[in-house]
Amino acid sequence: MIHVPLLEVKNLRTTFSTELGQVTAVDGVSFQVDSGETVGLVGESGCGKSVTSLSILRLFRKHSGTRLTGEIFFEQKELLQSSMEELQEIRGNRISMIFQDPMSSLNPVYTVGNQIAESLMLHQKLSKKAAQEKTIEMLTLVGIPSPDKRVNDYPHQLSGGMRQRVMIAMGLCCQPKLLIADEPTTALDVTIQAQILDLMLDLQKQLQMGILLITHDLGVVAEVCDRVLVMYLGQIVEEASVETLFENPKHPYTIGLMKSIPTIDGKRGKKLHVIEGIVPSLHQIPKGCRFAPRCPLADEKCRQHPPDLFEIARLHQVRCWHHERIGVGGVAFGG
Amino acid sequence: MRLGAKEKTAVPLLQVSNLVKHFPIKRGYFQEKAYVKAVSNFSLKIYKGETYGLVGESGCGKSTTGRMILRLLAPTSGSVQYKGQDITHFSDEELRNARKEMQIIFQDPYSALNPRKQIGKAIAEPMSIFNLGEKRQHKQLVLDLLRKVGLQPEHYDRYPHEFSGGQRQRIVLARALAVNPAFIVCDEPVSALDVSIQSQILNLLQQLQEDFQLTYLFIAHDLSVVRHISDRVGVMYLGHLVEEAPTDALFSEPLHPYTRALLSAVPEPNPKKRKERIVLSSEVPSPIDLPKGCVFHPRCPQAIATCKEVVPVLQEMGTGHRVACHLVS
Repeated sequence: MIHVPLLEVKNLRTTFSTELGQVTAVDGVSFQVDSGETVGLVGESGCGKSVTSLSILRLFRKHSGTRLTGEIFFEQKELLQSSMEELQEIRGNRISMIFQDPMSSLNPVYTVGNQIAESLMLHQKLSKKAAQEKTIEMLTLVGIPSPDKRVNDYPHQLSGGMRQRVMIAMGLCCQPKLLIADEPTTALDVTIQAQILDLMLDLQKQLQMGILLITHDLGVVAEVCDRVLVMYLGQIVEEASVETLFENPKHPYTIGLMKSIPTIDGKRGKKLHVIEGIVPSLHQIPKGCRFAPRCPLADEKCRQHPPDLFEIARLHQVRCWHHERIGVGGVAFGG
Repeated sequence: MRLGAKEKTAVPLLQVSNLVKHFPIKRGYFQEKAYVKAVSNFSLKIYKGETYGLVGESGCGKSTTGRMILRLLAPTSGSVQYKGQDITHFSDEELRNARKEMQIIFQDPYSALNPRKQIGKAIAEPMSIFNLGEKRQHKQLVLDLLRKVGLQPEHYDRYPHEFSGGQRQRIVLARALAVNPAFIVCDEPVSALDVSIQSQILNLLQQLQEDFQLTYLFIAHDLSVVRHISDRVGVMYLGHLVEEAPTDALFSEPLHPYTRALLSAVPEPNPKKRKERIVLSSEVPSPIDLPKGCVFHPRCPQAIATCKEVVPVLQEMGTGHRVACHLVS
């Protein structure tokens, strides 16, 4: 039997037109997410991780000049060719999404109960009463105290952590097969973050969801993900299981990122590792390897020819000409 | 510069005593007046050349404290002494002089710069406000500062929108350094930045501290960052300082249950060490109705009867390690 992944993205390219011309925010991204699996998508701002997630559900304004090419299969159905009606069936129902900022994703003039019940009535065709009951059940599930009262609250009456729980309840109420979580805990404090991550993983076990977790926090990745994709300037530069990525990173960018974060138990007082320079603008993408201008290993070949993704081990891919020079744990780096 | 045994004998550069800040909030005309109790009875000493890290979650009062120290906010009660002088009741004139020595940098470098001012002029402005040196020399001083913070001379005539977040934070730093201060409050200086840029700015802060003999109050919510840069760390919860210790002691032997929960909640970039978290129940109570007794007791996994009644005071547990908890003795 051939294994069919829950979500398969093939060679996705997302292009925007801007005043300064066309920019390709996502350039040839391919990956898969299986049921029950958590895949992390990491990278710094502007690397295209959020655009990738928005592209899956085609959440762009009409006539915005956004062009999507490639293929996205969800449960074997192609999403980029689907009609808006077909997509409507999937959005919020089979695939749902949680955003970073719950305040701007919730409607301030409706109660949170109303907003959760809305998707239940729309997608699950529940009656108003049944939707109300289910809403209270969902609020209980995400750990909101006295849910029968909170259901009538407006978003501004809730704290940041509570709002994020409401977002999660809303995202999960239709029991989606795939949850796309775009920086779901970035705006929260660490103790609340710990609660929310535990909750997401708990629900994942119960519902066998696939999760695509978009984050810039390598700590969060290490704690919750099974596989990780590292993005830089619109491309995946490394893909590996979470253990491999942290023990044996092969891309100089991944290694640089890991070395540059201060840890809670590492050596103190030393200077932090620095990735020189800044991320170039999407309007000025380097000709060869996109990381070459900031890379300590870069040579003439890197500056002239863009590297492919090399499969260096099972489920471990890296986009670097010099991956063979990098030993276990990212040593021999800079040599 | 590491401080330890020296701490007891040295005179602190900054001494904060029993600082309180209550913000009045409007309720109906016939209702009782209410207050957001942002900071309660907060005391602190910072010594020359050290970096004091102040951590806590949003709403714990750490930024309010930072602002009161510079008198950007007037404290409800308590005092702030800088170099032995009580600045709490300084006149505007006296304050202006004091602020030559005390500067602040904020989290968001985008809103801290005037978008219509070339950055060279923005950096020179404090020099002319304080009449430092001759006007003719200002440009040269600014160029020196730009180099110090890792920018180029050609950046002098550019506007803030032409710079990235990390570069803007460098500009803000250069502006703070323009008056040659001794003490800088850094209020979440790296939390708006990407990880690779964050490390650049942290290294720069340390370099500048050496070059200019600066003293920092480093306010942040990211514990790994605070651990990296601080000599001593204070932990705040709901306006109270609950624990304070030299950095290594705090992170290796946290004593307050809140500190322990906070440390356990930090996700570690090591998948082999998915650790047991102490997950705190419920959320931070409202600072309008502070819990009686220890402010942490409603969420504390170990709370006993005393905690609900009696406010714990900070007690010394050994070299510079202070904690406010009934369970520790």
